[in-house]
Amino acid sequence: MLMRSILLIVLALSFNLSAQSEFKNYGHEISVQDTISIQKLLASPESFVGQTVLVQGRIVAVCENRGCWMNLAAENGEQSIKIKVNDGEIVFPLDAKGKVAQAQGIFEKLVYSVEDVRKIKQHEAEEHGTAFDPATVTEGMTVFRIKGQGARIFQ
Amino acid sequence: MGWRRINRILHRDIGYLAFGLTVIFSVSGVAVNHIKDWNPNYQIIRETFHLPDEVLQNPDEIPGFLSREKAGGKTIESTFTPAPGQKQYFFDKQTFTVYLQDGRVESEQVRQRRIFYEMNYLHLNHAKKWWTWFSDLYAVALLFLAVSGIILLKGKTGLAGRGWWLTLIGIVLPVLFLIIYL
Repeated sequence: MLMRSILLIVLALSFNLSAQSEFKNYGHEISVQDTISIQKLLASPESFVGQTVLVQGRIVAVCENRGCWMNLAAENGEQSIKIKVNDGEIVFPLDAKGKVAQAQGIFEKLVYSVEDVRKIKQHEAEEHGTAFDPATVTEGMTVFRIKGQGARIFQ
Repeated sequence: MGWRRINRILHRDIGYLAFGLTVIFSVSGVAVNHIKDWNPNYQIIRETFHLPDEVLQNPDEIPGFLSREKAGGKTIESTFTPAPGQKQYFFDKQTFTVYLQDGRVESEQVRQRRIFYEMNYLHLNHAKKWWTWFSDLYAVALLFLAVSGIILLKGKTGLAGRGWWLTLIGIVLPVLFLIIYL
């Protein structure tokens, strides 16, 4: 009888705690109040490097293996920015593509050599199961992205 | 009541309590160990097809065609242009990448793997918060089960005999892997 009562209390508490909300939080709580447009961010990226920013956009890509990054589309529907998190710290759901999300993090600039770019492209090709010829990469690249701290994905 | 009897009772009851989580952690452990070979959380269904010419000629028709013919009537959520000549159409859990030059379409449908998704969610501590403390408690319980288990039996089958050698093998094996791989 006692065991049954304990089990029922645990189940009742679980249902009570699982209230649905309009969005789901990932990682740290978002603390920045105002969002900045992704388009504006990408128009003059150098001026935002090192700043903590909050962006909002549609999710257009998610890391298939570990959910360790997602790309948010800009308002013009042509540009996107990568939100990268440490493996396991935050896991973005693969089935969230197309949904609206907000992400907060530090805007950073990464400069890659030719060799780095080849490794990245090779990794991407492996992830997508496509072929890649390293000879097609002839120059390095600069990438701007957000080192993610927290995110909200709207239902 | 002697300590052996207390140990046996605790080992038995904590063992019952740990059963559910042990099943979850072991099944998920095998599933995520092979992450290079499969996606343990999602089933990704990919398909390639071509748009009919009349749809390709009139891009406004594309979302309607995809919804009707390939997305079970779902409403389009958004679009994106990943590169010149490409357009992505997002439906709930389904993405279509259309190559506008030749009408080729790559469809990707994502489905959560039932049971595995939930098991991995707990095992990899995606829940965080109180679950972190609860799973720590489980780890302590496992440690207790391990220690109480090896001192459970007396005599030849206990630690004084066969038990000692089997325990030693269980310790030496991971050390051996470390020597080989580290």
